[in-house]
Amino acid sequence: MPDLKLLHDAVLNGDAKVARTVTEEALAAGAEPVRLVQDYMMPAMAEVGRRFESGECFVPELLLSARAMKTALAILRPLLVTTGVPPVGRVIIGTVQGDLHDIGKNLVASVLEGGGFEVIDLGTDVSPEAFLAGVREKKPHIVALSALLTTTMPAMRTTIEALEEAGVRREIKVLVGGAPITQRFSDEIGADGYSDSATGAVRLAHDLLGV
Amino acid sequence: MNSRERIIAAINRQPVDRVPIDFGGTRQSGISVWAYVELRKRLGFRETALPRVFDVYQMLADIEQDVAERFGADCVALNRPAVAFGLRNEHWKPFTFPSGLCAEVPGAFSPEFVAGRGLVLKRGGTAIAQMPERSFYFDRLEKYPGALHPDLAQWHAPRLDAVSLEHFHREADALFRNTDKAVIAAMGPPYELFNGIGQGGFEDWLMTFASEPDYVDALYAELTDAWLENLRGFHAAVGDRVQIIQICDDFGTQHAPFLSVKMFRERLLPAYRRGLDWIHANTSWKVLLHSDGALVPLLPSIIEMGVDILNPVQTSAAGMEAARLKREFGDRLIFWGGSCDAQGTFAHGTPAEVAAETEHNLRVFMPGSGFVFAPIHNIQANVPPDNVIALFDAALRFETQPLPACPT
Repeated sequence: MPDLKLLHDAVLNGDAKVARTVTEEALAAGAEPVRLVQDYMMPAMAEVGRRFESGECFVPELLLSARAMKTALAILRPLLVTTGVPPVGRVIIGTVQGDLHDIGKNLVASVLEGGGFEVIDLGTDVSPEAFLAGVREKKPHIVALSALLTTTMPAMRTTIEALEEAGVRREIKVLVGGAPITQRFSDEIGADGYSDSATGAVRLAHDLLGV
Repeated sequence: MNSRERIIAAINRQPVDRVPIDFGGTRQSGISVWAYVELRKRLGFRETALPRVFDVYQMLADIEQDVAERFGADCVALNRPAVAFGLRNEHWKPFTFPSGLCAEVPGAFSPEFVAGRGLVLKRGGTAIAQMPERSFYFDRLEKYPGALHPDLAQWHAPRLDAVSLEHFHREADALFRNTDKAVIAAMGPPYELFNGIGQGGFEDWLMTFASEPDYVDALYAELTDAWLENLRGFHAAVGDRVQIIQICDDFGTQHAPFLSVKMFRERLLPAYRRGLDWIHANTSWKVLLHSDGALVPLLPSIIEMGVDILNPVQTSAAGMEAARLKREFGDRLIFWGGSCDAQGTFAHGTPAEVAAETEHNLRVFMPGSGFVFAPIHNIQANVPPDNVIALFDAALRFETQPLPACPT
């Protein structure tokens, strides 16, 4: 059995190659997938999140850690499913209609995946109809809407309205975020939550689902 | 005091006769054509033949003389022959956008309308930019070198050609002689070293940036070699007819810098300093950095690398409160922008709220000068014309310290 602290450190330091190697070696030596995730990877990702929020690390380090986490999870997830450990929750994410900006959205998607969520990324310029179709097809727990532009903020409202009119709004939680978005705007349009950072979005997603 | 004298005085911390104003002197202090059309209507100015879009990427309007004079614009931009997407600004033609707006655009601008996608602009059959339906901008679909991760043995950064240098020579001369405004030219490295270079794959680029320092340093060596060649050619072409050189690169998010001070100092500071050292040693130009976002932890390094002027001073970003910036950096940095929160009050507030916030920031930034007033980034399509008027009128009526009497 390899030293599993190496897996923790690989995620913490954003080294995807080491994360893959240690995960494969650990599985070959008979390690339990759920223990690797819960005892080594998740605590490392939580520590990265803490460092990001306290200004000890920045977006590049966060992305490298999320990549290391995802690399190991890609190996472990099929095994987790067969052993009956489902993802924490399922999230549909996208940048709203009229807006092609995706840096913030991609960062949130990465960190959500790193936090154990299944993430379905609908991309950019996503119409209310496309979000609705995504909800009907994928049955997510959360729909996450992103906008960078002041000119596309209104599309968040129309997307929520479309979900309400279709009668699916109560089945899901709606999260909103993006540079010009505020808690007040989130409240005005009837979203369930707003976060001003990627790590905050993951915490919010956990809180809303009670997981 | 004419406009050029006013700007030169401001950036040298000398007294000015009124608040110096930049409206349209850069591609980050202009106005969306949609807002411009509404503004002209509100001002009751005669309808021009058609508004002209000189930057079809950001959809920025050419600001005509009547509007520029109304708002006291003290700066003009020396633009490249091709401002956006490599399309030369010539052979203007009318074009109707899906919103119904009809405007003049460069003759080579011929996007296709694709249902469900909006306007799609192609080069050689490949889509390079898209304006979604109900959007007010194009966005690039191309990948830039940071996202492409080219083999540096094969890759070369673009250099300015003789045709461009001749254009700069002619245009700089015309702007210097035919206007009394300060002339600003954007002349950074061929690609923004940190942010813009990652276009089309920013997350991949950030991971390259953080985990492959030798590769990034080699990429920067090639880019700064090209930049130095461009600066020498550009200086020979325009000389002192340009007063301010703008470099653009976004180092800040809404809450914090994108990167650590350590990474900034190891990778970016030495690369940028190569070009800026040359500028300060060989020209009279002042250097203006346009970077959005929360920058405070990086500002000492930004100053050290040779930046004289900071734009747009995004006061809504974390730590970027006007009073703090003025107090901590006012003796070392000229502030250019910082007028009214573009993501909040300016877009969504009332004219009275815009005026109040703008006056507050003027009271902070103006004492001792070292300040040029500008909207915080381009005025967006949905900003009400009364807010635009309130913004500039707050600056125009702001009482400056009296100029010292002439020695007798």
